[in-house]
Amino acid sequence: MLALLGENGAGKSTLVKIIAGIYRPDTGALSVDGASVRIESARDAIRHGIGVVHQHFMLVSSLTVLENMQLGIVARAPIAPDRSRYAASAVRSFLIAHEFDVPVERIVGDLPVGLQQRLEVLKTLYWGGQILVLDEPTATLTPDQADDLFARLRSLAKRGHAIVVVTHKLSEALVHCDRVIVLRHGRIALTGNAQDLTAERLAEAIVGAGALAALGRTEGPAGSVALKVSGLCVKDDYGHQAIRDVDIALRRGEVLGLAGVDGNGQTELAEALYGARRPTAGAIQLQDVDVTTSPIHVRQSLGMRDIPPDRTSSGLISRFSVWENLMLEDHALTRRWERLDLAKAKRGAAAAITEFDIRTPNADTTCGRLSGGNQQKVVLARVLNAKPTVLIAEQPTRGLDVRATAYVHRSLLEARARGAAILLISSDLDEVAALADRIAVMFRGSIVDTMVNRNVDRNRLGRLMTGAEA
Amino acid sequence: MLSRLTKSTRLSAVPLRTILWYFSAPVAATTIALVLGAIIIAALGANPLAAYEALLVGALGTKYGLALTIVRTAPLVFAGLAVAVPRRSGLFNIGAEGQLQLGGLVAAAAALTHQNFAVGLLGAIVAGALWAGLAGYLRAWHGVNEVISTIMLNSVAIGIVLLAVQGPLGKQGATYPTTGALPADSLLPFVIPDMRIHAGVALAGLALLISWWLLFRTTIGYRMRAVGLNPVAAHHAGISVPSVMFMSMLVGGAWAGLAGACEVLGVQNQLAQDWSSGWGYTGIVVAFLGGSHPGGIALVALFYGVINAGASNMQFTTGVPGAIVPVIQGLPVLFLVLFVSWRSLPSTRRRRLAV
Repeated sequence: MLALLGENGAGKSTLVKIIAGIYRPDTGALSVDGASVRIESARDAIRHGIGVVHQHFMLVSSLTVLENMQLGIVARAPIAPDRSRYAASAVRSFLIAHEFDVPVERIVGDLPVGLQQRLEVLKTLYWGGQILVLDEPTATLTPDQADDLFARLRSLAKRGHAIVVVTHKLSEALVHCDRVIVLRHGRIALTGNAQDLTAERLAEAIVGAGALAALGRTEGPAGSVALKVSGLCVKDDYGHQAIRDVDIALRRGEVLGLAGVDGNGQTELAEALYGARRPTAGAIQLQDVDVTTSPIHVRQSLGMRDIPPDRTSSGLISRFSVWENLMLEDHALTRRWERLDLAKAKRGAAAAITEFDIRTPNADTTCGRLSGGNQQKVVLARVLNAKPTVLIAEQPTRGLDVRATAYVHRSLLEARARGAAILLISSDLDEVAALADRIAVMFRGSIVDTMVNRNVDRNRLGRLMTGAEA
Repeated sequence: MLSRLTKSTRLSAVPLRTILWYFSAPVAATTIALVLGAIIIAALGANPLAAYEALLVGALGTKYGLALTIVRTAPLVFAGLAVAVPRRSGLFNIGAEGQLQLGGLVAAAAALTHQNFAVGLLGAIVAGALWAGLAGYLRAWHGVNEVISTIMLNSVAIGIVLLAVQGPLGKQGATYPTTGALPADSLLPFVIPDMRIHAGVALAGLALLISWWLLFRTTIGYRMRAVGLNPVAAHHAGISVPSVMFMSMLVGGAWAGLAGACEVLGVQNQLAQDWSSGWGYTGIVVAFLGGSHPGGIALVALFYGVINAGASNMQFTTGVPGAIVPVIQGLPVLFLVLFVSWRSLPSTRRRRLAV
């Protein structure tokens, strides 16, 4: 059993999709059992004995267990399916042999999530999978269900199946797998046997531990509390508790760095703070106003801004021009009814392009044509020109090159110097260490410790991030 | 410095190509449709060039033909806008036909009761907007697919019109269900009397200008376009996505209602059973071929107006049945869909690969 680790965007899913025949590699070769193969479709993958269990179930939820199992058998048959495997009795005995004791007539959508996950695995096995690739198989499972899944995977491995588990949960890699590969920025950052590795080494490889660039961060007294969060609880899309009893007091003129391995509730926290997700308990106070359930525009008018983690999906409208994107959060545009002041908008855009050094042919170019770094500068220009009092920056340098990253860092520190209260959410430990006044560590939806960013023990930080020390 | 210069010239050349692309696809689709139409005409034993010539002469060669072309263009402009405005905010208004039918009904009812076209026009705007707004409300706040709801509402609206002309608004003793001639005071005045071009044509032109201004020169239009292109980012920016969607349906429905009113009060001067020749549906095609842009809609509506107005002359002089017209009308859409998907396929693959 091999664990493939890495943060979001490290290239795990891309690799899985190449193996599954969804993407094609530009260069390089794949080989199965020593023979070089070309996998150009899901059907090719199945033919070579590769079974992929995707993060989102690939089951037809309105069909029965039996029909879902038969699907791949039918798909592979040019005319009539192989009766010995298609027959209901064959499916039934296969499922019984794998201790899946659910009537095959049950509709899949009615089954609990844990059983659906097991059915996914069994389905790929039944279709002839020898090599199983599971993309974040425990994302929707409770810890008990996850343990059960790994026990079953272990027994499959003993029977000679090769199993790859893609995850960003370190414990799963260390406890349940034999070997570990860590991806970072699309390259292999670490590879080794699970028994020789520690959670800290993995965390270091995942988030990076390069030399810190010295940034001109001046010490200064933090101002009044601009954002106060107390007892916040938030659920994720699957209804699981993503955030538990989080308290934050964010002061003006400080950067609070939220460190943690991806998937420990950072996204849900940011969404709740910005107003995109409703908390189940607790309170959020912005400039002494209770905004716990207020919509986004109310928070904006109180001076809150957000740099979303994914600029292309939620930060920008890629078919809008640079100037149109630069005014996207302008209150008049989002709420009021009036004439569009084109001249003013273009003047503002020209100034922003110069000030933020946005490399674009002109203000009319659509943002989709810009490079990632320049797209992020557009987001940054829009957000910072609003002179926010509270700024939530989620993974603000993800996917950017060194120069663009440095630029973003400088801009954030300038905003801090102007008195903005900044919550920096990043899975890049170097970034947090370079920018933050205080560091809060998130693990499994809770802030496990908050410390002043001075002479911080990196090893201790790693242990906190992985839950090895509370 | 040099590299920056060359880079910017290379990049700025791209949008021009994009603009050409925008025009090339509908133009190419229409051309292919005309060529295929010619092949069909030849197969029917007529000379395609002569047929097309007769079509053009019939539509543009005489004062009467020109007037007919203009009058036939107006409802297509309205209907095209009725589909295009919601389209800009990401909604597909298949219901322009129903909204138009109700607009016609309200205009006729107002004409009978008030002897005043202004009341009819306003009433039709409100009726169309409310009918579309119902589907918009269901979509925006309750997630009901607007394609399905507007199709269903079309049937309901057509049923209501039938009920009205067979019942309360129907003329006693008529051989088919109709309101009979509407009072002369309630009809739209002519703006060009000697060509019998009614005021609705001017309103259609105004509607084009207003729609363009709304979409590209007001904050609400900006919001509509933002929601249409990326609802997630729009929501993230503080825009109320549901109310913007609802607004765009109101505007679209208003244009459709006006289309019906102008047709009833400007051309037909009565409301009869089966009075609409499906402008609402043609409007979908017009909006689509016109790129949901008022300028494009004007061009496409005019093109369709020409082939509609010239059809009878073509049939009269060359014997080619006018039934060829719907074929030429429909085919461009088929090819445009083909072009658009063919064009977007490699680039989406590329984009997916780049993620």
